[in-house]
Amino acid sequence: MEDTNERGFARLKVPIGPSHPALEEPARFIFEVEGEKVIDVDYEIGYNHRSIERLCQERPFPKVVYLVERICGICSHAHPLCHVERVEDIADIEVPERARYIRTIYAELERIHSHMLWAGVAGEEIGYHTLFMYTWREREKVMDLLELLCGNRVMYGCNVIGGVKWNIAEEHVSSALSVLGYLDTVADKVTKAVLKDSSIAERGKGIGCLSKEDAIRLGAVGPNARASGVAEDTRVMCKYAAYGDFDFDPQTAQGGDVVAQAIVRLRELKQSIWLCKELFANLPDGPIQVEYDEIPAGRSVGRVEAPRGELIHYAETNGTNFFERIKIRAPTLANIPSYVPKFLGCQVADIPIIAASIDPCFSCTDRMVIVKDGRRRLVGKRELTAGRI
Amino acid sequence: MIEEIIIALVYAFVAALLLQGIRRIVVAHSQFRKGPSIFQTFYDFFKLLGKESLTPNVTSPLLFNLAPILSAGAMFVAALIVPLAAATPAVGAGDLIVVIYLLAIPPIALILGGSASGSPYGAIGAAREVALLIAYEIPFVIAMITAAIAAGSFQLSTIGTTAYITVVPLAAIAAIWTLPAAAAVQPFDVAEAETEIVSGPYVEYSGPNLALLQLGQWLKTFLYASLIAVVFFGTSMFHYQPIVNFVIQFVIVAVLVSIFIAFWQATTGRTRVTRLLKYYWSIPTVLAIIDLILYLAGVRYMHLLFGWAGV
Repeated sequence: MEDTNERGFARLKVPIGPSHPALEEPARFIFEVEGEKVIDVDYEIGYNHRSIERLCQERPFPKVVYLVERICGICSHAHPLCHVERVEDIADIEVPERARYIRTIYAELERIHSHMLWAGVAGEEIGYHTLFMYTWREREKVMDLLELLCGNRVMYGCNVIGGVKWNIAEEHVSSALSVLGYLDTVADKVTKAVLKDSSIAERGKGIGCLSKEDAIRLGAVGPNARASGVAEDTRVMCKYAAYGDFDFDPQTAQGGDVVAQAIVRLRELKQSIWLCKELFANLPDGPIQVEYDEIPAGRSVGRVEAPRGELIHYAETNGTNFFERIKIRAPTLANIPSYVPKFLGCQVADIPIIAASIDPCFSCTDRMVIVKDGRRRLVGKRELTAGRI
Repeated sequence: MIEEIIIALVYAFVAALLLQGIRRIVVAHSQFRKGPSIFQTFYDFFKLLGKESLTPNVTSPLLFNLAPILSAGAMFVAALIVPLAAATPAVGAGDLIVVIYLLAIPPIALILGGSASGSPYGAIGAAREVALLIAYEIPFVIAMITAAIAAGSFQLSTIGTTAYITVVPLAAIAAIWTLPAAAAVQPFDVAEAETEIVSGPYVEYSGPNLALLQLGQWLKTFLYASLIAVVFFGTSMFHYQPIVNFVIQFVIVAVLVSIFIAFWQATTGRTRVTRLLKYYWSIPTVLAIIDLILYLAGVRYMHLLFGWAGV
């Protein structure tokens, strides 16, 4: 465990995870530290693989939607949204306009509660429990609104192939607008607190920096990339669901440090609240679902902007009732490599907040790992598709 | 004599644990929570006493198991010296110096236990505890010595008859400023820092050992606040029934803890260990030194400003 370098400083290997108070999910980081300074970092994932891609190949299309919804508890709308859009793309199903709007409303409400969750977790990691308690208390308002709209706090069960399942009642629109108005004041309050508070500035300024070049080189996505100045937002680029009807810009900040990450997410919080208000105000009339016949053989790949960044789903059908192959690239997988420049040279005290700052979701992103004869290797497509049950 | 010792020990124990309950409730209320019962610390303590104490294989068992006893034992000795009520069982010339030394033992026990635990978290926690200890001890000791010089005595029963906040207020501010660091709560819980180093030195402790180690910390918080109450608020000047003295003493300590520990804890995040010296060796130390120099130079500014009779 212990070693000394040429200057006589003790080197310690500090393991963080797979079970650690700072990580809600299993991932393992091994830090080599000299005193309080981190000089090397290595990471391992593969502790919580649930073989969802394989399970998707074993059930008929409508049931797969509910399965992909359970990939992530926080992004439980982004995954099925991306998935049903793939199926609709293969089968050439035209989704009614009202359904597209309702899908977008859920996606934005999800972003609001996810970013508020992030602010709370970040506060917790730097020992600022009051920020955690406050944002999570206000986050309950969004959860209550979601429960009002669809009956569930998470796993909304909203997406089906060809539309949405739950219509939005007229009397719910006004209560939704009043909740959104209240959240707007909360977002202002949190923004003011985060930008003015000296203890947050002390723990966040210049911590976990990521240059724009590094962000592009390492393929960072979502708010993590935007905090480094990469103005890329899948909602703006791909104009899926109803995003094409509204005009907005990606929110960016400079430097990629913890404060920049907070600024990006808080601005997106404001933006999402504005977008939700617009969506509720302009909700078109009409049906929310269309019938569809058979799903032909075909393949489709597409992206949506999950709260954590760009989410990619690939679907391949073969004319039967089952998928030939489903491939999911969760945003955290793209963001993990950006940990390395963020961690190098930081203090041990900054590890949790840097780890939390990219808003990781390790279980969603996990890959199957086989450890054999002391060597680890990832499982590829051939093994996954072989030996179908 | 024996009754006085028992009364002092029981009072210190009950008050220290009750104080933690008060602190937790104040913090909870400022975070929109209801918080635990005020007696939660008692439940935790007695539950831990009934659990098994494990000693990791890689430790030095003697040092590892000695640290909790050292920590709690030193604090019970200190409870006999700090005048908590009218009667103080152990009194002697220069007992202020003894108490200051005794109050440094729980951190040293944490450092020993953390280093002996064989865990990298314990080692980092021990290193951080060293930094914390030298950061707050210096302004605290200078402030205490200033008050002692103003009193012309190092004996607590003599110092405690005057509220020295009216004589050397800057030193009093410096001493109160060190309270949250001595209590090791946010923003100064760097040695524990459960999200960073999994509660540091405590990580390998369990059962009665953990209970004693934490008891040492709780008693230290209480006695530290009591010492400030005695020296700067003159709680030894009251000569009522012991029970009334206890209540007055406890109320002053509880107010100090609620305002300067719990409120501070609720409104800040954890600081970084590299910032500790900057916090404590700047303003608090300078304030304490200014008061020390002014007093030695014979400048009684409180007397000039407000006409206090002073000493």
